[in-house]
Amino acid sequence: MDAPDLTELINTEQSKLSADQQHDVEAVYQQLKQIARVQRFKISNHGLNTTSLVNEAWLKTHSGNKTFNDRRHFFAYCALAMRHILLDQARRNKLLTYVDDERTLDGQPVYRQSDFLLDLERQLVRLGAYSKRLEQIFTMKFYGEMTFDDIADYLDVSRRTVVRDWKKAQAMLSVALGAPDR
Amino acid sequence: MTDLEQIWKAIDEKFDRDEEAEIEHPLKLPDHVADAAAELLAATFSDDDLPPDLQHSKYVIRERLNTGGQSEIYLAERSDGVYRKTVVIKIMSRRHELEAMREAFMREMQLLADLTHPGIVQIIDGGVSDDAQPWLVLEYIEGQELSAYCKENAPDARAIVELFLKICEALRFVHLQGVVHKDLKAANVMIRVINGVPWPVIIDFGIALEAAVRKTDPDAPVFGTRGYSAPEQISGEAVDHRADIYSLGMMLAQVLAGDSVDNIGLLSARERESLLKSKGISNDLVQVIRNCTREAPGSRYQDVEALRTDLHHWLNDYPLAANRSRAFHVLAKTVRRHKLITAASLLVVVAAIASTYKYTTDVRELQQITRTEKNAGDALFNFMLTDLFDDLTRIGRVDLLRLTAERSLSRLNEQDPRTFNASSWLQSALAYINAGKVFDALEASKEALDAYAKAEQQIAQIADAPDLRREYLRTLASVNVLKSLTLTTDEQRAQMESSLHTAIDLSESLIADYPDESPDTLWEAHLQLGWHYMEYDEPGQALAHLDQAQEIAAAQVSSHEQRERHARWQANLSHSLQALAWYAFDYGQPEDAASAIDRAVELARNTLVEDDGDIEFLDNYRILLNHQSFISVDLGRVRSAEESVTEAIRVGEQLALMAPTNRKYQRELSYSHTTRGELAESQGDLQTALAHYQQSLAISRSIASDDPDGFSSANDLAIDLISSANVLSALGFSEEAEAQWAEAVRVMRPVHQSEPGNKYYSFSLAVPLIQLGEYEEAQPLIESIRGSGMDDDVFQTLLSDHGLD
Repeated sequence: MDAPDLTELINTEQSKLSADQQHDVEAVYQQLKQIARVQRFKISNHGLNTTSLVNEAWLKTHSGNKTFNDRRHFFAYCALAMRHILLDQARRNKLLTYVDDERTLDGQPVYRQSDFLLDLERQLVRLGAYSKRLEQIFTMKFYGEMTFDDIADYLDVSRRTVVRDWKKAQAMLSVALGAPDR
Repeated sequence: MTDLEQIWKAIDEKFDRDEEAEIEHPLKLPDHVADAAAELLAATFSDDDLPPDLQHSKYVIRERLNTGGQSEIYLAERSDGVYRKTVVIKIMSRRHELEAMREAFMREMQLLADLTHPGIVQIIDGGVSDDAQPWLVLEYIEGQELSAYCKENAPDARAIVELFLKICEALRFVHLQGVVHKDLKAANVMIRVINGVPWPVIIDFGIALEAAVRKTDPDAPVFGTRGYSAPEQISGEAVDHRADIYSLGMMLAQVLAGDSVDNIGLLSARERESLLKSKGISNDLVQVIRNCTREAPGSRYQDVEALRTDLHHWLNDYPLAANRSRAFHVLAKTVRRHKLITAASLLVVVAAIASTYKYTTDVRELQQITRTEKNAGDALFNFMLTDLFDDLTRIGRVDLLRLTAERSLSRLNEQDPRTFNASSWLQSALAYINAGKVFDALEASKEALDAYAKAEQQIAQIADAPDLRREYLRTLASVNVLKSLTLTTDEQRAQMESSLHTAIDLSESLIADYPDESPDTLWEAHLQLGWHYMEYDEPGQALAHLDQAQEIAAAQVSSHEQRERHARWQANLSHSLQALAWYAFDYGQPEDAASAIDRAVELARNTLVEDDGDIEFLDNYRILLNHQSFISVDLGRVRSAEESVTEAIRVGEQLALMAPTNRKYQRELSYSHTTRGELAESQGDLQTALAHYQQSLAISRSIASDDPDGFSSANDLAIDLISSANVLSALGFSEEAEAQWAEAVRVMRPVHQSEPGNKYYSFSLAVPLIQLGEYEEAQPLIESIRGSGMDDDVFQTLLSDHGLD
């Protein structure tokens, strides 16, 4: 999987992946989930450290994996996977606030956070339309917690560019999220 | 470029100029997802222990289902704390103004929620969220989609049609509630298997909901599925339930075609039909599909009920209703127009229909025969057994209807009386009567009487139906007359009399209550009673009824102006006079007999003028001519007898051309020839006598060869052989004469052995034996003939010629 393909992936149907890639998608999802569950016990109530999550996943996936030929490649993919997983969960939670007549759900943190991620996703897709690289960098940094160096290596650009683009993306998304556009 | 994009562009450029740039009034975005959504992250990666927040919800989402459509579908579990139920949550596409939509959506959803039917997915809950997101909670159907089910189980066409009958049942229910599904396709039908029986469930009323909502937004696009959606739906016109019939037809075609084509609806009608036929799908089923998928809604089945009826008919191998109305309408019309010409060609049709009939004993299916189907089916049988019966009687081929009558009966026996209303009972009674008539015509007396008894049972059911009083009296009277015609043996005498008296009583109250009722049955009952009392030698009783019959017929002749009825009553009057002639012949003055039969012949001739070419009237005329000649011979009026019989032969030959297979007509013609031969022989004109005897012989031969086991056919043949041989012998052709006597002996020996007590058969065997000089074999026969009434002058002469007296 080449770098540019990764960004494409976020907005394409999974059926467009090759059979091997689909298999890996499944594997990564499952691994992330399993590792996260174990880590939750370790890290108590402070949320998850996705970096350690992805690192551990890499260690477990590394041997014998053919489609991910290096670590950064894998991390980039994990960032996307994380974005998918969280989005999916957010959608479900949002759904519950629809179908459940108990309006009390709305105020709960999980639902508030879901709303935020759904809004973010909408704007991130728009940002991708504006600039693919900004979307990629934001995804890797925010969802994958990749280091600037890893991102720079992976995209084959300078660290400086990555840092600048990260700032740009944050600024742009902040404006977008603050500006009611619907 | 939107405002936002302009702002983005400004930010972009600003950072490009200055990496440390600050944004005016930026919102702070977290650096990591763990900061922004810690709780969500934890919840996401938790196993099945719900985080406290989520426990507030009564639903737990299990998985997102694959969906090709515009909506998201989730499998979820609903728990109200008591029990858990798997449901489907469906988030529909969002593209409508909130307020305008909400009302329409909720109204339509309520309508769908009211559709409680095992063949329709149940809507459990639904609504529109604050941000205009419509959603539904649906019953979860555990099973496969229709196409997947068919792929795995490979049901045959019958099993597929059975599935579609169930789909029709559900869809009929939907349509009755005024809902149109608008998106029927194999993917929207799930198969739920319960105890090994597949039950289809229609799912996804999404388009129906969309359509309701769309009324608030006229510019919105029209949805559906290419290939499945009716043309009027595709072109955005108003649709009604007939659009669903189109889709259902296409879906049936697709399922029958299986994997051989991705979307059969995209083929042309011609390609579609040839594909189906190449798959071995029967023409009738292809016809059903064609009737569903016609372009114009008005040309399709007009409701699901009609489609269901035809599928049901196909399953039971009845002809399709959709074709029936037209074909039989045309046939019936043609028959009315050209009674004789078409009768023969009708045989082909009847035989074809009869041979394709096949019955199922599947009780479950039969219970589903609705009253509509019953009446439609009975009407078809009644058509075949009345109109066709009349026509086939004329040409003497009622035997063709035996199978139809038997099937009509078995069909009637299988009907569930719990579904009957008053007119169903009447309809059944008529069907039994019709079948009985066929059996009677075929001399199957027991079957006929059984059918009439059934008819009486059915009629009894409507005895108290006030609006069917007239039909009750009329039908019951007529079944009693019919019964009497079948009750012919001596043991049945009392029964026959009482039937006819019952018929007279019923007919009289019928006419008293409804003065415009035609007295056909009353007339026939009196006539039959007259014949009956003559047969049992009660002249007083006989005359009373015959007079009644004559009076009724005479009154009708003078009151009817309309041609057809007038002719009918003239024929009836001629029947009455014929009976009176025989009464006079037996009990009164031969002169009176002659004048009565003369009047009868006159009336019969009139009917021919009035209803030109009606074969029944022509036959009646000919029979009366034969009787006229018989009575004339008895009165010694040879000239007049000769005139009558010559006319009878002329008419008889005409009839033979019209109905070459009618054996009754052939016998009657043969009888005319015999009479004409006897008249010529008595006058010494042996050449003419021989010619007529041989004509008669030829007919008897042909009848006997068609009816090799018939004793009376054999006897007729023997008599003609004897008459012919006697004249041949007198003319000096002794070899030919002996050959015919010998043939008569060969024909009669087995008949006599089977019925040694029959004086006619003994006579027909004795005469040729004597002529051949086989006196030893003839002797015991001669003994039995003496004193039996058969030993007339001719026989005595024969005996003395041979020195046997």
